[in-house]
Amino acid sequence: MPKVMRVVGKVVGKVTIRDIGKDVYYNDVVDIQEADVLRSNDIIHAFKERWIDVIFGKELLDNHPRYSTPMNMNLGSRDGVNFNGDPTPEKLPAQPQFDVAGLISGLHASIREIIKSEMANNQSTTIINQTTASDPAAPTAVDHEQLATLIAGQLAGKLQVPAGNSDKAPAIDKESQNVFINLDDNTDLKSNMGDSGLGNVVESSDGKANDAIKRLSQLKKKDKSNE
Amino acid sequence: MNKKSDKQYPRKMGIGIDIGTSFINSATMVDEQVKIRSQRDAFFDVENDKFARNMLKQNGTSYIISEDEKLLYVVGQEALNFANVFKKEVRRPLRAGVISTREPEALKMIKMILKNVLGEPLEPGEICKFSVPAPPVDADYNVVYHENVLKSFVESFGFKAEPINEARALGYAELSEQNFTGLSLSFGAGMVNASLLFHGSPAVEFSVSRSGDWIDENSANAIGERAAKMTAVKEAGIDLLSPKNRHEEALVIFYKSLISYVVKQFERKLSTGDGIPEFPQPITVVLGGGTSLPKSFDVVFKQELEKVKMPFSIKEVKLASDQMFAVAKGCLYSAISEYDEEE
Repeated sequence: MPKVMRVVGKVVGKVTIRDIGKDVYYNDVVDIQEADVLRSNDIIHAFKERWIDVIFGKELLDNHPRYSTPMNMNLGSRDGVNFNGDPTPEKLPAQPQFDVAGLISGLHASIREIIKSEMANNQSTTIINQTTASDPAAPTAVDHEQLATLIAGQLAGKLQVPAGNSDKAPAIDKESQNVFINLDDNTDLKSNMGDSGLGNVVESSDGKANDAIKRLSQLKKKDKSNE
Repeated sequence: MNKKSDKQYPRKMGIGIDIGTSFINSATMVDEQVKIRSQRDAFFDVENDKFARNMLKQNGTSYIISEDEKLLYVVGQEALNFANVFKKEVRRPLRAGVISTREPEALKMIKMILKNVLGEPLEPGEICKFSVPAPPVDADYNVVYHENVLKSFVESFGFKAEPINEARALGYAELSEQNFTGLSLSFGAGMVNASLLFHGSPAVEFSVSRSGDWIDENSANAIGERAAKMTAVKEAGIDLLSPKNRHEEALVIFYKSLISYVVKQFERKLSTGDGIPEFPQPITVVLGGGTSLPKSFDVVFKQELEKVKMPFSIKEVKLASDQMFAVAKGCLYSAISEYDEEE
C-alpha cells in the first residue's frame, strides 16, 4: 500500500480540501499522506467531481471506507467528453511504468538499516549529557522508524513521476460539499472600462412585470405557509 | 420607490442577471420599466502596444489587459467585429454554458464583465438572482463548480447571490398568466435548458449540451466557413422555412436537427414518468433565448413536438415576448418578489 497519494489540480483556481487542510492549485501536484487520504471525505468528493486527479497512489482511494466502486462507463461516451465537452486534452503517450510505491518502501527499509548501523557504530563515542530514562529532562530517544519515514518521504517528493489521467470514471457523489474552491481576489485584470457600465442598455416597458412579481410573491408565501 | 425601505432608491431593490455563453444580461426595474444591460460574452486578443491602445481608445472600445500585459482583450460586440475583420474566431470565457477551463484568464474576465454589467448594489446584501444551467443529460460538465464560482463573484460585489435555473426564470417571466404552469425552454448559445413547472415548482429540469454554438460550428464545417461568420448570418435574420442562400440552408439543416434532438431528449427524460404532475389542463410551452430568434422557430418546434409522445396535453407553443431578455427578466422578478414577500 503506498504511503502517499499524489494528486493534480484540474480546475482553474484553487481547491481546498478542508478536512485535511490541503490546497490544490490548477495543474499543481500535491502529495497527500496515507493517513490524511483515509480520514478525508472531502478528498473523495473532490476526486469524484474531477476537481483533482490522482497521479499515483489510487489504491489508497480504493481502500477508503467511503469510496464506492466507480460505475463502468461506455468508453464511447467517455472518449471525447471532459469538463468542456471537448476531446480530453491531457492524454499522454504511453509512459514507462515504474513501481513508485515499491521504490519508496524499499527506500524506507534501506534508510532504517543505515540509521541502525550508524547508531551502532557511534556507541563507542562518549555520549554527552546522558541521562536515565526516568529523568524528566531526558531527551527524547530517536525513533528510527519515524526518521526513516521522514527521509523516505522527502526523497519520494523529489522523484519525477509521469502525469496521467485516471482511467476510471468517478461516480457522482454530492454528499460532501466541503471542498471549497477559492480564487485569488487580489489580482484583478486591468482595463479601460471604468465605472460607466459595460454593454448596451435597453429599456422596455413590461406591463406584465408587476403582475408577475405579485403572483410570484404570493406563490412563495403559500409555499412557506405549507412548510 | 420600493415599499420595503423608506429610502429613495433610483430603482427597485432586487436585480437579475442571465449569465450565458453568448451574452451576459442584467435586469433592473424602475416603476414598470425594465432596464436591461446586455454585454456580449466574448473577447478577441490583440497585441498590447501603443498603437493598439490608441486605436481602441479612439473607437471607444472596451478592453482588458492580460495578466502578463502582452495582450489586450477586446470585449463585447467589438470582439466579434474584430474576429470577422481578421477572419478568426472569438474566444469565450464561458463555453457550452459553463466556465471554460481552456481559458486560463476566463475567471478574472468573467468577474470583470459581471461587475461592470451589474454595477453597485443599492445596499449591501441586495438580492441578485443569477441564472444557472441544469446538469446536462448528454455531457459531463461540472455545473456545481460553475455555480459556486459565479456565486462567489457576485457576492464579492456586495450582493446576496442566489442561483435560479435558467429555464425556470424564463417560466417566471412568461407564464404568470398560466399561474407559472407549463414548459419553458431556453435556447442559449451553449445549452438548451428545460423546465416543466407546476404552480412555479419545477417538476423536471435538465439541459442538453448543444445549442446555438453547435449550430454555428456544424453549419460552418459543412460549407467550409468560419463559425463567427455563421453567427453573423444567423443574427442578421433568417427564416427557418425559407432559407435564401447556402449559408442559411446550412443553418436551417442544423437548426432542425437541434430542435428534433431537444424534443427527443425531453421525451426520453419524461418517459419514466417520475415526478410528472397530473396537469388538470393542457399546458403552454414557451420558447426563449437568443437561439430561438429565427423566424418560424416556433413553427418548426411545434412540428417536431407533434412527432413525439408527451405525458400531458399541450395547449399552445409560443415564443417569449422578449426572447433575448426573458431569462434576465425572470431572474429580476424573482429577486424583487423576495422583497415584496417581506411586506
